[in-house]
Amino acid sequence: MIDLIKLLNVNYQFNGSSGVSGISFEVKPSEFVLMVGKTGAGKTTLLKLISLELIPASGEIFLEKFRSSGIKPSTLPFWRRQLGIVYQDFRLLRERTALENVRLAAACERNLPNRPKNRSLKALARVGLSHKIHSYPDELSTGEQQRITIARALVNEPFLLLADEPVSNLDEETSIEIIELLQKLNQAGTAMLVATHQPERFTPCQPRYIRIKEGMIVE
Amino acid sequence: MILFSLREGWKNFSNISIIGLLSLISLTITLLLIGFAARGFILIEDWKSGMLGRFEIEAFLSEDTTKLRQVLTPDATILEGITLDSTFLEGIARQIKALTDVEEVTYVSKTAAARRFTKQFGEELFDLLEYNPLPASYVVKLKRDADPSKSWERTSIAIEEIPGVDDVVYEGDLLLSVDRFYRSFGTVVAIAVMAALIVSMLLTILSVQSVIRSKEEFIRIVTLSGGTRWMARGPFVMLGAYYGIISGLFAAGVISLISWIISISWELGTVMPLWWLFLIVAIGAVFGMIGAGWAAGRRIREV
Repeated sequence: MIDLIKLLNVNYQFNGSSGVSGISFEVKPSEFVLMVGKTGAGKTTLLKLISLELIPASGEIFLEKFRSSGIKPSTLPFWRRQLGIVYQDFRLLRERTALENVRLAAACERNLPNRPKNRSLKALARVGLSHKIHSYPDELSTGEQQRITIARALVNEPFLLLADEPVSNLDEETSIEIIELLQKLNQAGTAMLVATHQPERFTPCQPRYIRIKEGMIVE
Repeated sequence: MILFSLREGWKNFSNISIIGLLSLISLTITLLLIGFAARGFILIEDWKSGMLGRFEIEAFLSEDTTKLRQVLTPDATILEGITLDSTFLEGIARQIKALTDVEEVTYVSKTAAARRFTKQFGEELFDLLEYNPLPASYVVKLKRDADPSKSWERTSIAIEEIPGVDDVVYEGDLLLSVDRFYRSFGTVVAIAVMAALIVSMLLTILSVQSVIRSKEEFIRIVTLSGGTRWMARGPFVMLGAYYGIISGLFAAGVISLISWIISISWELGTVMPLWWLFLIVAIGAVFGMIGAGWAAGRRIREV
């Protein structure tokens, strides 16, 4: 099977602190990959490298027909449209409703057949929030806020969903809901790369594990 | 994409901050200055043009028959020592007309000069002196765009050198005063407009930068969702455009109101044409977009 994303000997160092070094792995279509490691192990750095928020100091990342080295600023949006990103702290715009938050991301991709508003409604329906589209984030529970984040990540129909500690801020019950949702989306065909320090919660997803310690893959 | 920028820009505009309000006020003042300055320039240009139209160079022909004989054709007749033939008169007129800045040349004969004197002072010269002492002359008008500080002196020197011309006069000091006033007005207004423009640009830049600072999460989401550089910057450029358009509308309203009051009360000038008002709004939009574009370009480098 062709790799959806492939990292080859990727390195990145922060000024004065460790980053990641010699990272190589790949994610195949529809795969559920769990990136496991303690806080500060380099998981978030790796997700930022994949979304090219950080540019690798050396090594190469391949995503579909693109490669990270020498990527032009004009190509960057096309790279990022292949990905959906779910943040630990949600990063929702407080002054916008659930629909407006999702629609903002939908407006960034104009090459899909449906209109941004329709896609946003569909994405919110997929995460079970059709009845809360006009609610503001502060009017919603943390679980619902995380669902909006997932809907926003899904709205442009990415091949790969990157999730950074998607359940670490949630209680047990809500975590189960979110994990079930991610599993459902994965079964529908979206590949997942989830960074977590609580791997046991994701056991039902039957993921492939990548263990990271001090910026390096150990297993 | 433009609709997206317009919509997001409007959202930013509707949450206007104190600094945004200051930017709006300073842009309005700048546009008012530009509008009034332009209006003032047109009024002053009309006035200057009217004034310059009244100025003329008078080139007096020589009364000395010996001198005249040197320039006349051998068969020319000199009656009473100073009557000149048409070939000679036309020749001088042609030489004057050939000078770069000359618009019009009119010959004033001795008789016409005496008539003009009588008309102006109500006395018959011939009755007083029993002869006509006024020389024949040419009244020379220069082109409207002739430079008062150079053209008039240059032309009068050139006319004076034409054989047969004895003396050349014009109101040089008054002419220079008119020109000096026009230039001073222009300099003062240009400095005022430039100063206002710099202040309003700086305020627009600061205002847009502060909005950008408060919208970093928006920029981050747009860029990480695959938005283009324009999608991240566009809303802020449009915010500048909104500042400019709203300021332009205020300024256009005030200018047209004042120009209407002036035209009604003092019958000075005319009501501002509609395209002027559109131009002021357009200038406002362009200024706003330039300031905001610069601010957005500097703050949102990485997309």
